[in-house]
Amino acid sequence: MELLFSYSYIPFYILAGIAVICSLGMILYPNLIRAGFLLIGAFTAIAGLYFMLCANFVAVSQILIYAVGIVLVIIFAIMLCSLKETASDVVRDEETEIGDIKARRLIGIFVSSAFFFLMVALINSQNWDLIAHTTKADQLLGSVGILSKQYTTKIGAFMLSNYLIAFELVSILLLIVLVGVIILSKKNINTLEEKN
Amino acid sequence: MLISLNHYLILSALLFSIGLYGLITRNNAFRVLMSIEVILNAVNLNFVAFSHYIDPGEVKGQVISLFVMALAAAEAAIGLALLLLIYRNRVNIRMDSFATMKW
Repeated sequence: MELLFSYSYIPFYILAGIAVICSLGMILYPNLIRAGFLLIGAFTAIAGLYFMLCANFVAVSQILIYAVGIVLVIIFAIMLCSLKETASDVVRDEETEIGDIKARRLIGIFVSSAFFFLMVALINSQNWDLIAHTTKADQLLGSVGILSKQYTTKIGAFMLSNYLIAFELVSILLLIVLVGVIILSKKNINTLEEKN
Repeated sequence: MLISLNHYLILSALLFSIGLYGLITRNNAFRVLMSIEVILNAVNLNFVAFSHYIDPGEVKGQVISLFVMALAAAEAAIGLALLLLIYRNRVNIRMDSFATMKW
């Protein structure tokens, strides 16, 4: 078992690589539908990272909600908006206002890399070992099965006791979103108003 | 060599920057939505990593990341409905074609 944990960086780097490559591909790949499928790969890799962090319930809901639910809905919406239009989007970007696109790309690279290096500097300036129970967490990792079962039970108890108000608010929010989406995507809002 | 909190924090900073880049540069509204999802996932990864390393045995970070997931689902649903509405009116979904609220 000890040997297994001394090599736990291998699955981490594999999953991290998949997540980073897939999310980069999602942004850079010309075909929009395939970009959506790459997003599924990124979310699944992140779910694997949750498994490594003993958060089994979060990992499974990540697969259910993100990798299947949200991305599939996005892909269906992409298919509803005509595919030919969206697939040539990158090409048309290059054709029109090249200066503007280039400037935007430069700004994007500058802002995102500045943010990244700032974050890395901040993370490295902190000595996390003082507050992070790395050894304790690794000991806990030894009992992943028992622990994640405990976690799932605890999440259920927490949601219906300590976080009850937030839980109910989220359920009301989802109801409002359901009604709002139906009203927004109704074919002809104007005729509906005239009838009333 | 053990995986420490730093690894997860740097990975999620990287994912956040990738999402930020997509948010700024992409002209396709669907790609902007997907970038927002990547950003939310980076934040979730941070929550779960902190929950695992800073207070092991507790589930506060995991519960908050579940709430973030619910909010992300709501955001995606509303965003897609708005995009379909815009597509019906303007026949394209380029971000610069509906910048009429820009001063």
